[in-house]
Amino acid sequence: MGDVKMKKKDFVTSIVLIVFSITIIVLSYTMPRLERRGIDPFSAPGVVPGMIGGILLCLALILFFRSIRNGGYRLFTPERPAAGDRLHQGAVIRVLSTLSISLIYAIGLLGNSNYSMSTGAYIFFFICLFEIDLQRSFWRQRKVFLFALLQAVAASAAITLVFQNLFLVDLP
Amino acid sequence: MLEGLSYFWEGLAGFITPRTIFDVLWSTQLGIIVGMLPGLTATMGVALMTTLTFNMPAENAILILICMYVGAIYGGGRSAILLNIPGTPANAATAMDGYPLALKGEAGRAIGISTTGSFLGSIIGMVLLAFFTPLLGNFALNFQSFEFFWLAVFGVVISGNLTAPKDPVKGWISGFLGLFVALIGMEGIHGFVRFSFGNTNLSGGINLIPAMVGAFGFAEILSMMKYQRINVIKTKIERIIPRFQDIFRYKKTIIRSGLIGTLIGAIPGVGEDIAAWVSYDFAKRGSKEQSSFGNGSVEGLIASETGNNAAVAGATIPVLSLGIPGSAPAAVLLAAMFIHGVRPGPMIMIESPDFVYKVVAMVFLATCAMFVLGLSMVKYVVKVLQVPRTRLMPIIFTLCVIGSYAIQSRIFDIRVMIFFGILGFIMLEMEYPVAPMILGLILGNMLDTNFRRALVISEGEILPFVSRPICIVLILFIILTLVSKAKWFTAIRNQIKAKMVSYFIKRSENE
Repeated sequence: MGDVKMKKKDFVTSIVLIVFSITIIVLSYTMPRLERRGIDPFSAPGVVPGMIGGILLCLALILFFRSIRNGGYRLFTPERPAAGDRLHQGAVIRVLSTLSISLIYAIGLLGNSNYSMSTGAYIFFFICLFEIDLQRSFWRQRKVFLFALLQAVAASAAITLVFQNLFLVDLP
Repeated sequence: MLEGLSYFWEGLAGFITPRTIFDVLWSTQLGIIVGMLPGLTATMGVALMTTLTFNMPAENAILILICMYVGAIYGGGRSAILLNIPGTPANAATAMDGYPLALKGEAGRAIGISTTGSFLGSIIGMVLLAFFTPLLGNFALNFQSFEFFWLAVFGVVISGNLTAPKDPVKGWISGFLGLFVALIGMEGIHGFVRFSFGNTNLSGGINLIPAMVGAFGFAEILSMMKYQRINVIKTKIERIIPRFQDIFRYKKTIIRSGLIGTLIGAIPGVGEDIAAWVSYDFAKRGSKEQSSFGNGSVEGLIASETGNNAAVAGATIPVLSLGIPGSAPAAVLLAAMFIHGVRPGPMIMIESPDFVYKVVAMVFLATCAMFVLGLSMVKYVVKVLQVPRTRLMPIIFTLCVIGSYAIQSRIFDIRVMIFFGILGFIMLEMEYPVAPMILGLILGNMLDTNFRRALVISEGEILPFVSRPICIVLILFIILTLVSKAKWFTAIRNQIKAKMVSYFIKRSENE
């Protein structure tokens, strides 16, 4: 099952890589050759990127034809649900939750709000997101909240102090 | 040789100060803890530590990074033994026999044996580092642009081949993607800005440290959060100091694994995990107790731990002599050396030969600290394994963010870290190794400038690329690496092997 999924993934990846490498080749070809500056054509800036684009294209084509040979192009063929599918769904939710909260912190909050507050809030909500069970009453889980709050305050204060005062970093 | 020894003693004497010893102890202990925690790799530890030490004096910072590196590769063995989860990929082979030993109630003995194996492996690697770095450095003085171009190609190809054993094509794609990323920004010959699309941040190029922190840090955080929880077993740890017989009995295995580990560590971009597996495999093939491998073999445990720690010093050999990393953590070490104004490469034996032996002294100090710390405080340090990931990962992520930002105080570097983190995670999911991409990112500039410079020197002639003796050797290595996994090549190799075996059998029968 996993192998079939990988072939499909390889098929999609190879198409992305083919498009990507052709873009590199085109951009390299259209790069100025700086002839007006009397520069040797062999040292033109597009030579190496073009070569790397060409090699990437060859490798992507190998991947593409191999995935076709192995049936990876049958993207929409229904598969029997596997025993691990529920586990897999849980993993996807956990990864997406981690990614979302981390992106909100690193791209949304940093640079737009106070560093210590943002860091503390991130640590607090991260712990709560994964440790709080919505089925149980909040009062029974007050220790988790308390611990998350303590860790968030201590960690953000320590990181702020170390980087601001010890490493003299102008915090974002 | 004697000159080298005197440099080594001078370097070592210079490091024997209370402040330096304190630095060695805390950074090695931190390395052991980082290595122990599944999900925190040696590369991540060294990359994060680079961001924390960038405003220290160069020698102190590099010493701390080496201690972190040695400690982390060793520390990964603890979780391999106690949890059956290798703390770093380098300790996967350790779990094969370490965990069965722990299940038999011999966790303390396994930790003691792995500590001694790591210590001896590191010492063998250190001796070879001192011996081979000057030799390789002097040999590399014959290299010109043609050779450096092929060396960069060879590094990416062999790294891709060995880090993606199931499908080398994916390893090579990863490596060439890294080479492409290295070309973004202002190029080194004419100052032309490539692939920046008018973005001023991109025109400065992609900074290596945020890319590495993302690819090995954030990607690992995402991978770790996939799993619901890790069950921590409670094992009694009693006697840790190993028995002399346990070690002396396997002296041949230790020496062999040390040599293999160092050699594999020195191959560009390959790293400690492959070194440990190959050492383990050789030990199994040469052992009289093959059946015990995988069931708690002391020899297997010693082989893998000796191999991976020897690879640490091995990976440093090409860093110093060629300016090419032998492994992913060594790549960060190389980047850190550049940040601190040290320029490793063929000229190092002419410009600052003492630095090479200072690095040898640093490896020696880290090894001693690892041995002492590894055999003491085990019961207390092991408690770190009980910290839940949900409480550890947000702190690691905030360190990844602030560490990436701190080097140049640019928000852009945080975005680079995030981008490479997501890319690294997708690559892991698609079974693409990340290490060749990072190696490509390092070698990209070397490949680019040397290829174009060589073409200018040869006035566009391709012949010098394929006719110079060292180039021919490198090309042969590249071709061998490319075809080594092909079915037809394996078939031919097997046929030749079978013919040779039958020839020797006939000859021995005739005699």
